[in-house]
Amino acid sequence: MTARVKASGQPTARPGLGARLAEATTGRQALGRLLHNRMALLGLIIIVVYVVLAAFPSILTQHDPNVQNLARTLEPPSAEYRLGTDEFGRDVLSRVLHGARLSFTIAGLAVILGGLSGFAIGLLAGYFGGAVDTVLMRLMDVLLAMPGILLAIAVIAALGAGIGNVIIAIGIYNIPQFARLTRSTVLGVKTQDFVLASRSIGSSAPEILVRHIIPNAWGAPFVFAMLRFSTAILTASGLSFLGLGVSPPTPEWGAMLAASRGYMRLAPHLVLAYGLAISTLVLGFNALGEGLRDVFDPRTAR
Amino acid sequence: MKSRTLPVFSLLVIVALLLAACGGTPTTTSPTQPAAQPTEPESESQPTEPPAQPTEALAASEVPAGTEAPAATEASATGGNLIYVLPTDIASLDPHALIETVSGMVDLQMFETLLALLPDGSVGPRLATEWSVSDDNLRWTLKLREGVVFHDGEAFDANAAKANFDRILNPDNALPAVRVLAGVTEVNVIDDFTLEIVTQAPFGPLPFHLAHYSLAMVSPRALQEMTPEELAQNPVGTGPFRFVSYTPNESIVLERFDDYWGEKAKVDMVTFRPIPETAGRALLIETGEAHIAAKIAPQDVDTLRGVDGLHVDVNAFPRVIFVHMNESHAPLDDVRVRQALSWAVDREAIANDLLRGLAVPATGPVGSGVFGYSKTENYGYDPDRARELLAEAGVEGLTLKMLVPAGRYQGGEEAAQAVQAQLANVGVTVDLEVLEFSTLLQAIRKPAAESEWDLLVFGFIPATNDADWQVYSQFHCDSQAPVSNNFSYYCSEEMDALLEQGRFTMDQDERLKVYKQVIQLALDDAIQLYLFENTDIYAVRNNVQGLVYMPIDYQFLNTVSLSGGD
Amino acid sequence: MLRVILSRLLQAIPVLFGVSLIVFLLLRLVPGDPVSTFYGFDVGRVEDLQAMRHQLGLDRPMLVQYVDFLADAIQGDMGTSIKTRRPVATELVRYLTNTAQLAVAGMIFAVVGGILLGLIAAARRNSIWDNLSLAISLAGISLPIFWLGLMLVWIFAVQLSLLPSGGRGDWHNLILPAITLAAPSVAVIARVTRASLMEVINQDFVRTAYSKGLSEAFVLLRHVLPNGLLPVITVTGIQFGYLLAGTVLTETVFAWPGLGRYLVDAIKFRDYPVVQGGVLVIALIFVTINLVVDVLYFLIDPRLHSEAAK
Repeated sequence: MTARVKASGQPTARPGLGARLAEATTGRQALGRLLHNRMALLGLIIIVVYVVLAAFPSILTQHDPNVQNLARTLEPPSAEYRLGTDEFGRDVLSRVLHGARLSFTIAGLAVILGGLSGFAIGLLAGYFGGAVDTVLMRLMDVLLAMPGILLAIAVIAALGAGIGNVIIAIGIYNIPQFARLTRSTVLGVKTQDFVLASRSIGSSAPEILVRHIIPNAWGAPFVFAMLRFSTAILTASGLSFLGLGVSPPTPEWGAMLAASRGYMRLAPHLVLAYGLAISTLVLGFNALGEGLRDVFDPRTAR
Repeated sequence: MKSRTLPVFSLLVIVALLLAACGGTPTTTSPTQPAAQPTEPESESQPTEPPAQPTEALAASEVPAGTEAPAATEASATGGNLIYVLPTDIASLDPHALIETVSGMVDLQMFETLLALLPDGSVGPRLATEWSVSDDNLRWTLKLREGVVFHDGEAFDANAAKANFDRILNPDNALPAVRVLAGVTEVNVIDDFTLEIVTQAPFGPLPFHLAHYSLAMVSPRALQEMTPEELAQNPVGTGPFRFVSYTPNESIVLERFDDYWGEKAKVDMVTFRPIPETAGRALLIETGEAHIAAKIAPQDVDTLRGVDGLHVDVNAFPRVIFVHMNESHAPLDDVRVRQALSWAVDREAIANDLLRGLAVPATGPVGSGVFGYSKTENYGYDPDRARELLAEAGVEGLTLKMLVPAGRYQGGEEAAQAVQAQLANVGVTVDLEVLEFSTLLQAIRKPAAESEWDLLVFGFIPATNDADWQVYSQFHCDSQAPVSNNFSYYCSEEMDALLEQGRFTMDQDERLKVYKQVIQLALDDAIQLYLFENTDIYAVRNNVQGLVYMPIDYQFLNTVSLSGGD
Repeated sequence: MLRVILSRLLQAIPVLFGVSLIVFLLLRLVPGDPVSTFYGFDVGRVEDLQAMRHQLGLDRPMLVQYVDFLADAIQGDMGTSIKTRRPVATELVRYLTNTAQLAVAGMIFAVVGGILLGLIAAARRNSIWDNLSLAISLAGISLPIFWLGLMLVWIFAVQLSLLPSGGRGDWHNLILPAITLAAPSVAVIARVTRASLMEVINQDFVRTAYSKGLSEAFVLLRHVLPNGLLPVITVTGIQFGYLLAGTVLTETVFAWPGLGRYLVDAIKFRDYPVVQGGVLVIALIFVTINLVVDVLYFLIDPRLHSEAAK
C-alpha cells in the first residue's frame, strides 16, 4: 500500500519493487544485465543518439534555429532544409535538434528538483514517523489530490511562463511521488539490524540518516527518476502545447507542435516532425525503463 | 503446442472494435452530400445581381463570381434553420453586461439599439427614427419609432428606453455598458415617443455610441421582474429573432419573431454553434454541417477555396495591429529612434508571406472601415535608413523588452516574432515575452514610472466604429496608462487640441478632417509602429443569400435566407 | 474494514481543506484580476472597475473572502462566475457531465483494449504476439496524447472524412477523443494484466486444468482471467482518475466542452469562483477514487488485514 504510485500515467511500480531495485543496483553487474536486455539497449541507443545530436546539432544542419526567411515559408523537406521550413522560413531540423536540448534540460532539472525535494521529505517522514510523518504526508496528499497538469498550470499561472517556471511546475508535481516511494523504502531500511544497532550505541539521528539510511534508500528513487524522465518530457511539451510554456522563438517541441497544428493541411511535415521527435525520445526513456524493470524484477521477466 | 487461435481471435476483436468505431459512419451520415448538391446548379446557372444590400460596401470583400444567389428565389426561400458557427461561446445574453463582439453578434439578432451602424460604417436610424442636438451641443433629442413591441408583448416607448438607460447609468449595477455612456449625465422622457439625452460636455461621437450593441433595449418588464442572473439567461428584446434556448459551449437557438416591426426574418430559426477550434470551424462548413462560419483561420483559406458549394469572404476588419513604444524609456523618447524602428519592419513580408496575404499592411493607426479613417503614407521597409537614424541618435547595442498577449490577435504572436527578427537585423535585440491577456493587463496598467517594458504588441478596434473611441484613449495626455490606453505615454499639446476638437465638433464631415490631421501627426511622431490590419474571414455555403457584413464583425441575420431546401 | 474506510474519510477532510486554501492563495498571488480582464482594453473609467470589484466583493480582506467562500461551498453554493454571471455549481455539473462522458468512453476502450493485449501477451509469452503487445503498450505511453489526437484527426477527419474532428454531438464525436484519451491507459492496463496473468498461469491449478485436456481459450477465460483480474481492477481505478485529469489536453485538441478546458480558460480569465469550485470538485473526485482504490487494495492484499489489525 505504501509504495503505491498514484495516477501518473506511468506503468506503476509495484509494492516491493523499490526494495528489489535497491538491492540489485550493484554497479557493473546490473549494467551488464541491462545491456543484454534488448529493450533497455534500444532505449539507451535512442537516448544516446539524441544526446549527441542535441549537443552537436551541426552534425546534421548548419542552419540557425532562429533565423527567419519569410520568402521561403512552409517548404517541404529538401536537400537544403532536410525537414523543410516552418511558417517563418526557419529550418525545422535545426529547431527539432535545439528542441531536444531544451527537453533534456527541462526534464532533467525538473526531475532532479522534484526528486531531491521528494527524497528529503520522504526521508524525514519515514525516519521520524509520528507527527512529522502525518503533516508531511498529508501535505503530499494535498498535492496529489490535484491532477498533475492542472497543478502545473496553476503554478505557471502564478509564476508566469518561462523555462525556469516550467521546471519548477513539473518539479513540484513530481515531489509527492518521490516522497511516497522514499518513505516506503526508508520504512523498510529503518527496522533493519544495522540501523537498530547503530541507534542502540547512541548515534544521533543525522548520523544515522547520513551513514545508514541514505546509502540504503537512494536506489529505488534513483531508478524511479529514470522512469519519470519520460513523463516530465511529455508534461513539459503538454504545457507548452497549451500555451503555458516557454516564450517564442525558443524552439520547444510542444510549442512548435501547437503552432504548426494550424498548418496541418498546408505543411503536414511540421506536425509530423515535431510529434515524432517527442515520441521517439519518450519511447527511448520508456524502453529503458521497461528494460530496467525486466532486469530488476525477475518475476515478470521476459 | 496449444491452439494458435486465441491471439488471432483477440486481435480480430480489437480490429473489429476499432473498425466498428471508426468505419461505422459513412453509410448513416455522409455529411458532405446533402448540403452541397442542391445549391450547386442553381447558383451557377443564374449569376445575377446580389439582393437588396450589396456586399460591395466592404473594402476588401472577396466574393467569387457566380456565387451570389438570384433575388428571384426569395419567395420560395423562406424557412429553414440557419446554422452559424461562432469562434467562441458567448459571455452573456444580457446586452448591458458585456462588451464583447461575439456576444454582441448574437444579442443583436434579438435586441435593437436606438441607432444602428450601416454597412458603409456610418450611423442610421433603428428604434429611433431621427435625432438632433440643441444649440449648446449638450441636449440630444431622439424621436422614437412607434408600433414596436418586445418579445414579451410590452410596447416600446420613451419610458422603456429611459428604464434601460437608467439601469446602465446606475453605478450600483456596475454594468460594463456604462462605459459607452461615459459623459451622459441624464436621460429624460419628453413625451411618449421623444427622448432627451444630456451630456456633460459637447460630444460629437454620441450617435456612434448609441449604435453600440451594449446599449440595446431590453423589455422594461424583464428589467423590473428579473434578477441580473436571470436577465443573463432570458433575453427579451425587440429584434427580428426571439430566444429559444442556450446550452453553454454547444448552441444558442433563436426563432423568428413574427410581430417584428421591420423586415421580418426569412429563416425560421437560427442556431449558433460556438467552435473555438479553427480547424473545427473549417471542417463544419466544409462538410455542410453549417451555413456560415465566422473567423476562419488564414491557414484554412486555401483548403476551403477548393471546396465546392461554398465561398470564402475575406473582409477588411478595422483592427490595426501595432506596437506601442514606451516613450517614458530612453532612447524611445527620441523620435528618431521610433522612426528608425518603424523603417526597420517589413510590413509587406509580414502581411503577404507570413500571414499569407490575409492581412493588409497598415497605413496608419486607424482601420480602414472606421469613421475617421483616411489613407496616409506609413513607413516603408528601409533597414539602411533605420541604421542611419539609430546612428544619428547615437544608439548602439539597444536591447528592448517586448510584450505580446497570447492568442489575442490573429497573427499577433507571429508578427511579434517577425518584428523581433527584423529589428535584430538593424542591431536591436528584442526579448519577447508572451503573456496571458490577464497577466499582460496587470503588467501594463501602470503609471510610466513603474512600467517595465519597452515594446507592446497591441490591437485595437473602436467598439463604436468611431475613431474618437480609439485615438482619444491612445494619444491624449490625460489618457496615459493606467487611466486609459495611452500605453506609449505620449503627450503633445498639438495632439490634445486636435483630439478635443474632434470630440466637440458636431458636424461629422468636419470631424473627418480633424481625424485626418490626428492620423498624420501620429505617423510623423511615430507614436506607435503600425503593422497591419486584420481581415475577418467567413466561409459561407452558396445557398446562403442576403448576408450583409457590417464594418465591425457582425451581421443582421433577418435579411438572410436559405435556398435549395437545406 | 469499516474502520479503515472511516479513518481514510477523516483524513480526506484536511486534504480538501488544504486544496481549497492552496488554490485560493495561488489565485490571489497570480498577477491579473478578473475585473480588468473583463474590461480588457476598451475605454473604461477607473471608477467603473472599482464599482465592479466592489459589487463582486473582491475589495474585501482576503481572509473574509476565503471564509465566505468556504462557508458557502460547504452548503453547496460555489458562487457565480465572473465571466458568465451564471452559478458556478450548475456550470460545473454540466462540464463535469461532458468530461465524465468522455472519461467513461475512454475507460471502456482502455479496459477492453488493455485486457485483450495483456491476455494475448501472457498467453503467448515471448512470442511475436507478446512483442507486438509490448510495442503497442510502449507506443501508448510514449506518444504525446495531443499529438496522437492531431494525427487521428488528420487521418479520420481530414483525409478520410469518416469522423467529426471535434466538438460535442452524437456518439461519432466521442470516438476519436476517447481513443486518444485511452491510449496511455491501454498500455498500463495491458502491462499489469500481463504480469498478473503470468503469475496465475504458472500456478498448479492452471496446469491441472490443462492436463485435463480443456481447451486453451476455456482455461484462460474461466480460470486464469478471473484469478488475475484483481490487480487489473485496481489499476483501472487509478487510471480512471488519471483519465479525468488527462482530459485537459484531449479536450483542447478536440474542442470538447469539458471540465478541464473550462478550468484552464477560467484560470486564464482569473474567474476566481470557477477555479476555486472546479479544483475543489476535482480534488473531491480524486480523493474518492483514491479511497475506493485503497479499499480495493485492502480487499485484495490479505497482508494488509494483519497490518490494520495492529
